[in-house]
Parts: sequence; structure tokens; C-alpha cells
Amino acid sequence: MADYCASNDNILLFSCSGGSNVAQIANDAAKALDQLGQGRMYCAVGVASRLPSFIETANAADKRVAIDGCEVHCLKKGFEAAGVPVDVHVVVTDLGIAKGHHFNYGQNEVALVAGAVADKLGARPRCCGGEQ
Amino acid sequence: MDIQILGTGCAKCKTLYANAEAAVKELGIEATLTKVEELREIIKLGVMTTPALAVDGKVKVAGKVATVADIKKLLA
Repeated sequence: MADYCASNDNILLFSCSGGSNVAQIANDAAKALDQLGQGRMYCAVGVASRLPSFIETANAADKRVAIDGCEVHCLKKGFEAAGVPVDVHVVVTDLGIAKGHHFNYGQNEVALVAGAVADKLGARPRCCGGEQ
Repeated sequence: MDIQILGTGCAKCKTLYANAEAAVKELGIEATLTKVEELREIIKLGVMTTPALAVDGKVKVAGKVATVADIKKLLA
């Protein structure tokens, strides 16, 4: 039995990773959710670029979570163009975080976004191999 | 002293809580022991692997179940 949290591989987490604070908050939130066993982070660009193996993996998931940084919704649009459904969509700027070309943010903002995803997933928290 | 046990309620988190409780008792110190199970609060503390133990808001152990002896060393 591992000492570390196990990932929920049936939920795939995709995030924006653009050149702004909100993009990197999205990315950090996806990383945190992955490491805390809420899902498995996967390559958003691979799907949006319509690479067949990435699309196949994304479509095979039970749920696909897209965390966009801002209202441009690049991630969601990329998935729509690739024909991959998004089951949970969270936008960082919708949570009251202003977009800027800087990377000054803290764990509170990351936690806010990750918490919003967890709420929408409605998933039971998983930890340490899924034991409760 | 505030001791926080961070985790989403799994068996290992409960073991870590019990170990921390035993360590406090064996050391005979005054400490408040709290469970932090909410994902937002866990991430706010910068914890990416649970279970974890924080003392006065600072993470001391993450991603493993510290033994009673280990926790006693941290608290002493």
C-alpha cells in the first residue's frame, strides 16, 4: 500500500497554461488536483491539436475537466474543435480573479480554483489509494 | 501549539491523527489537534500529497504517515 495518494485515472484534468496569471493558476490547480488524487492531469495541447492518440485517451475518460484561464475559453473551444466533450468547465476569471500579464499569485487563488473544480465534480475525496 | 492533520479522511490520515495524538500525550505538552479535510484548505497550505501534518501553520510532514517517535521529535 503506497504512502501517497492515488490518482483517480477515470477523470482527466486539462488546463490552460498561457502567459498570464489566470492561466498559470489554472495549471497549478490542475496539478494540485492531480496530486491530491482528484483526477489525472493530461495534455490539453495534444487534444486541441487533434492528435489521434490524445483524442482517444480523452474520449475514453469518464469525465473531462477543462480549466480555462479567461473568458476566451481557448481550451473549451479547442476541445469542441477536436470533437471531445468537456464535462466540467471552470474559468478562473469567473471566480473573481482578474487577468494580468504577471505571475503574482498565491496558494489561496490556486485553492479557490481547485475547490471550484472539486465542487463541480462532486467527487468523493480520494486519498492514499482511495481508502476512506 | 496548533497541530493540523491534513487529508481527506482516509485510513492513513486517521492513523497520522492518532499518532499525533499519542505523541502529544507522551510529551505531555499543550497542543490543539485539528483535522483539515477540506480540499481548499489543504491546497492553501501548499500541500500536494496527503496525509500531512502542520505545526502552527507550517507543513512538517507530507505524503506519509509519520510515526509517534517522528512526531515527538518534531514537537520537542
